[in-house]
Amino acid sequence: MVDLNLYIVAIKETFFMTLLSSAISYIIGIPLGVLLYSTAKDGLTPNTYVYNTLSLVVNIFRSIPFLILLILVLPITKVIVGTTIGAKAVVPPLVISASPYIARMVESSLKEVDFGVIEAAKSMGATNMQIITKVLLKESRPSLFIGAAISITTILGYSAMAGAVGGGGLGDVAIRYGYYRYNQEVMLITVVLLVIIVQLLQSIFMGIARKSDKRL
Amino acid sequence: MGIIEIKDLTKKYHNHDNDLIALQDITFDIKKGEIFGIIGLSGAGKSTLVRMMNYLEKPTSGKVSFEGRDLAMLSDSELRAVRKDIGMIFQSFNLLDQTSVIKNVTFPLEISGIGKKEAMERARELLKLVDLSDKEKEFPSKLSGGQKQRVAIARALATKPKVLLCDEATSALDPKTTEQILSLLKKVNIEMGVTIVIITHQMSVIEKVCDRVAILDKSRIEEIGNVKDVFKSPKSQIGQKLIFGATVNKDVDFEKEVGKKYLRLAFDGDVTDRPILADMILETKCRVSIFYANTKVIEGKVVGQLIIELPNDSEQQKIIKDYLERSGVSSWEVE
Repeated sequence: MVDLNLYIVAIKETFFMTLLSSAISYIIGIPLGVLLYSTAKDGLTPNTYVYNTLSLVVNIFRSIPFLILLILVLPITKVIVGTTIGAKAVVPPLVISASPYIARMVESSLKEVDFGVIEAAKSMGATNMQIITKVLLKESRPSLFIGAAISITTILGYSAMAGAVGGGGLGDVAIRYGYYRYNQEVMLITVVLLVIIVQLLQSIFMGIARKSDKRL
Repeated sequence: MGIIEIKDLTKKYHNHDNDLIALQDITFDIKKGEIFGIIGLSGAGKSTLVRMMNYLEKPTSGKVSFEGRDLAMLSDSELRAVRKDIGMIFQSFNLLDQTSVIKNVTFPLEISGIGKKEAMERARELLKLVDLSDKEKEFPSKLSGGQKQRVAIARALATKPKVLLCDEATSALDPKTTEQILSLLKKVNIEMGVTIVIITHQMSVIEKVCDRVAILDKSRIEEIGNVKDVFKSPKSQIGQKLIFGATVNKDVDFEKEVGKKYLRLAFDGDVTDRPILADMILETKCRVSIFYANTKVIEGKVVGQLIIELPNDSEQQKIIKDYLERSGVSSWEVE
């Protein structure tokens, strides 16, 4: 029988990794997504060079499997958080992996905003910055929250993978106790806990999305 | 001098190898204080034309001036300032869906840096003008099409513009709502002195509120003039087609007897509630026979044409023509 405390610590670590990484990734991902949207061919300030470069970088990071990235960025992790093990050490690779992903999510949400509304704002003499902050990000809010539900649960999934390198959290417990020691009970419990957490986060964010949508 | 002056305007779009010409050699002025209509079938270039009046689209060549200033010479910030003098409303309303009615109206003021309190006051005034004071806390999704357009009008007027551009503003609305929106526009024009430009494909819209009209077809202006004159006797093919609802000149095929004269009468929706032909025969005592008739009801009004064979006597022909002119019926001889 594994100590209950182990699960509590692991859940805390999982939440810590997921939420902190998500928050930082959004701080990076939103401006990136806005930049992608704005420089695209039919964006506010089309710039093929910037768009293509950015798009390429984003795609490269998105195509590296998380487990590989986790190891690749170890030196960077060491510099930033001072260690390469534990929950803290998983945050930098999670952010590096999730930011481009979130940038794409944000870009696609912004694209959903009706061009007519942007045109109307332009006709009122709005600057591009005002269009971004007061029209695009506001009008796409429900879609951004739906994107957040998907992004955060994906980050949670990645964080579980970090267990493979001693990253802490539920994934770590599953690997160390469930896999290495072949304790099926632990394996099952951690999986069930992960499912519950994903469900929880998903429904919270979908709830916010629904509540924020004034079209309904 | 017009408040908006358009000179030699041409707009081309590059589409792979071939150039698509949206507008060609457009020249006209919009006078201060008038309601100017631009009508044309879809694809005629109307929307492109109106978007060049506030430089949402830039012309390929030619000049657009607002109050004497060439829009091409303005810096970005000067252009934005000019846009605050030119309000615009759209077919699909283009309201901010995630924002309440009142915040939609304060939006242009907010981006102009006007204080919240002042903006709210102004917005309430405008919502009163468009008769939506009770809806200020609602969101656009709860409003009907006509109400949405009224919010859009209030929003477009927030910065006290000198011109209001209306891009197919009534095309998504039913006839009754269209009527309400048009009277609101007329009110805005008369009471606030706002010059209005109306883009539409509906003749009835032009007829109801416009002072002058330009008819756009195949990227060019085919005809321009006072609405009364153009409606009475449209000179261009497209004008006749739009106004009489049918092809007037070409398609009517009948065998003309040699030496006989035929007169074409056009109904534009104003006179057909009177038995015009019966009255004419009774009053002029001239015998005419109907050769061709094609009338139809468009949005509650009868439009169409009638071709009559005239008596041989030239005196009687003149009496008939005089009668028709006095009655306000457009007529001309069939070639």
